[in-house]
Amino acid sequence: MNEQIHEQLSALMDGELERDQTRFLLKRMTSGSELPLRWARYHVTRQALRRQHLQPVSVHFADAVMARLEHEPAASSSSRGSHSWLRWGAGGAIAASVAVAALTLTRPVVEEPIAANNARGMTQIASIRTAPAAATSATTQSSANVFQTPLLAPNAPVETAPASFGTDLVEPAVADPRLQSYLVRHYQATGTAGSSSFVPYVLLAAPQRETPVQPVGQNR
Amino acid sequence: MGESDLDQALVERVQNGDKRAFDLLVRKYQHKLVSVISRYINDWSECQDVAQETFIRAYRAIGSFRGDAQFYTWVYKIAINTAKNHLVSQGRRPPTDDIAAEDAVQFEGATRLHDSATPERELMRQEIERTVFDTVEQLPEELKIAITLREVDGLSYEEIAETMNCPIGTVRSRIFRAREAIDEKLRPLLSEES
Repeated sequence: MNEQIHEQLSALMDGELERDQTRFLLKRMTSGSELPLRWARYHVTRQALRRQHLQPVSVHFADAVMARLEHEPAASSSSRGSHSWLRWGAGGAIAASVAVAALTLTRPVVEEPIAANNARGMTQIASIRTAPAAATSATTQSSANVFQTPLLAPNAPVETAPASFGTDLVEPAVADPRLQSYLVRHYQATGTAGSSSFVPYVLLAAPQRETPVQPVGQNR
Repeated sequence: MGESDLDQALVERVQNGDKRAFDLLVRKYQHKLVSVISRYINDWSECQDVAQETFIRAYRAIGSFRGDAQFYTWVYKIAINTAKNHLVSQGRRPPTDDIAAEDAVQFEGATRLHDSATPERELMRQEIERTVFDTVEQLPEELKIAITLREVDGLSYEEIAETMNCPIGTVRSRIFRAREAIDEKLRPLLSEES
């Protein structure tokens, strides 16, 4: 029986003992028993074999420590929990502060051009479009920050604009002719396959390249 | 469960109020910590007092040990601080050059801040080491290989079983028998030691 316990102790120090056996063994390891002393000697052996500096201490050293701890209240991890909550709370507060500061600082820079663009775009579209009266008036009265629905109003003539906020509606960016060519081929291919395509919208949205009119007779 | 996992399991037991688990941690690390503290404090009696104080402080603070670092690294830092505080309280200046916890216990490569070993203690240390190595040399081959693979090379039981081409239970038994053989020779030395 003792040999079996000692073998378990040997396995325990290698971290190779099952959990239930560990529990059982720890219950047997009271301060008065021989097991804690053996445990300490096994570790002296380990330290020597690993060539770690060894400073042999009194066999009563651990007993003296445990005697001093006798009147100490049992350790608990409750403080551990509250500390971790405090840490998480503090971390969250800092993250929230940074987020608020970032929003406050970047808001005027980001939102104003967008709002201005929206308002300008709406006004421009409204001015060049003949839409139902109710819709048009709603557009012109719109505030800069609110997206108005009149553009989607039924019966309104379809008109397209570049999707990006940063570009001026009046001056569209010049498209790559190779992209145009690819889109046309894609449209034709999907059209023959009977599936829908995004190309019609894109084609309408893409700017028409104006080919310069050469004066007659210049080639000559 | 590895060695550090075992420490963590013992720490959790202590955190749940099991003082016996702390006793095992003390007995596991007492020699190492005293060795570390002896680099700062020459007097052997003071050295043991500081080591005791280190474990007391560790016990009081163990509730806040979160397991981010290994238990030994954590208690090592407490030991260094306790030793330095002790020197300051005695009006002595603590050394400024610390060494890492991993290097502190190694013979080779470690800068020794102090060498507090008296001739008697040094003799004792050498005798313990010689006893361990001599006993290992005399072990049957399969026990010698098993204990060497475990303690020197740090292999797990499963790895040793693969290496030695035997069941894990056999490995466990061989390592235990090797330890018992060494312990039999070591016991008289350590019980005489005080």
